[in-house]
Amino acid sequence: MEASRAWPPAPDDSSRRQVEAFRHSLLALIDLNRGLSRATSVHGVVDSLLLNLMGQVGTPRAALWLRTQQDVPVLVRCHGIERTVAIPLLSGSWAEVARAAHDHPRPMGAAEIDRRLGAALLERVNLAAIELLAPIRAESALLGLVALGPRADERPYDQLAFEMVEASIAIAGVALENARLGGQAQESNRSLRIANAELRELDRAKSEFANNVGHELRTPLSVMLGCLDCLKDYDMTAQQSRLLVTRARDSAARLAEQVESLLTLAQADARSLSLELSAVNLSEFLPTYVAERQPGISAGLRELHLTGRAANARARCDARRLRQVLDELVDNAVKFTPEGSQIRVSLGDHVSESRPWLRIEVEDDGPGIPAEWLPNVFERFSQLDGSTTRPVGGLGIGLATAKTLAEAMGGRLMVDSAPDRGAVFSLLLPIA
Amino acid sequence: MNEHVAIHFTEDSGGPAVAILRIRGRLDGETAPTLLERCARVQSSGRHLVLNLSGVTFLGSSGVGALLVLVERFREQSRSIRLAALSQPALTVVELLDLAQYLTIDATEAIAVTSLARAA
Repeated sequence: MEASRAWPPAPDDSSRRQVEAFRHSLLALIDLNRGLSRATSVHGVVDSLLLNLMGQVGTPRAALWLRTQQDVPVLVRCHGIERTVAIPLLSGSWAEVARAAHDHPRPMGAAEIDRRLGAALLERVNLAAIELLAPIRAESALLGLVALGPRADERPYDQLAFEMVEASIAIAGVALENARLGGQAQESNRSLRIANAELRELDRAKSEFANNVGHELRTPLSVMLGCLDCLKDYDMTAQQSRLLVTRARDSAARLAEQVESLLTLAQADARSLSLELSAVNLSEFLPTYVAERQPGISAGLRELHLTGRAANARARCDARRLRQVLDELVDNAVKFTPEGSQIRVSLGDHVSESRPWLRIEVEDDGPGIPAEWLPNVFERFSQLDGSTTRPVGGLGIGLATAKTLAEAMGGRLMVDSAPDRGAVFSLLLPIA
Repeated sequence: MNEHVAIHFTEDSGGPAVAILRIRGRLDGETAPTLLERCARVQSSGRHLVLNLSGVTFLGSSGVGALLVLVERFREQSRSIRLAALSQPALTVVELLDLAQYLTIDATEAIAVTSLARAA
């Protein structure tokens, strides 16, 4: 008679491991959702996806490219793969990648890469020690491509790994598209908000000006009218008449002086700025500023970082004007760098002109500015490429405005750059 | 840093060339970026790093991903990172993915600190 067996049977090591692997995979999808829910920008979504995939399959090598508006791939992130290897990896093969992603919207191992993307790309992929390429899509449109390296335990990618990578990328693709659209919307809203605030400020200044001017002009006018009424309505001696005429004339002269002063003031106002100087804590101001700008800049496939700190980060400046200066510098960096670029905002201490300052740098890794052009950078209506067909628009007053604002706050604005080495704009602010 | 994030770090020194970071809480998709940010500060100081994972209550895929990224980042700067005193939840995931060799794991924080101090 057959001996009775325990039910359920005790799992052996291999089935226990399989169960653990399934559990790990399911938890990985939940984990991905947690990461994506925290991400507020395109780069945040990319980081969540890559960290998750690397941990799912256990590889220290990964890279991700996103498709630009010009339909070319730009490297957004790579881990464990040299950037110099990853940046040109897809060059010349993007059309094949797009076609393959359309025909076979799934992760591809070596055989599929060879079959669908060609031997040349397979060779570059092998040289970069990449084992899997997976298209990122949303609503059938290709958004980018993920590459994963060999697993640390040297196991090949099995069916479960392929399916989990596919599922994770499908979830992240939707999040990526949402982050891109959300970032673009946020940037538009920000511009509208700034324009509205400026209009409100202009309206307030106009009303204040009208009130002040009204009061100042009304007083001499009242005196003049009073004198003239007396002369019209009453019989006066020659002496009394002279007195009233003299008073009216004096008031007219005062009025003329005031009109002259107002014209001078109006001209000065056009050049000068209203400032509300106070102690602004840059350790609080800059993270808020960068967090506000990140989603919009990330949606344009450039990355904005904040680094550095200062011993005493309280600067004497006008917070609204400081924001305006930073906007000009960051917008300038965005305008003159290609997609995939890094823009770094950093805070630090600085000593020059025999005094301490707080220094905010806005640095980009774009094409840089030729030495002969550097002296003209802050001039109004100046642009490196003055031709009507230049790729970057604008009047060329942004940097001039930034310098005027910086100096009005008692600060300095300088630039350092060289071709192919990016540009660094340094804003110095007095310590509060 | 988000205050609701369920992770806490305590930094300590293991000598002039070694920093110790003790992690308490969940290391997952929500908290992994915070770990990378925190370790970048140690990295910029040029020190080696011991990550004490004894207080990790959950190690998710993104947490594992962050550990793999950190190993590469430190290696690129000729610095080392060692994991120490893994909690049972962390150990289960590391064993499942067979990462014990790749990640350099020590039984205790003291062993990890001594190894790095000797290497420095």
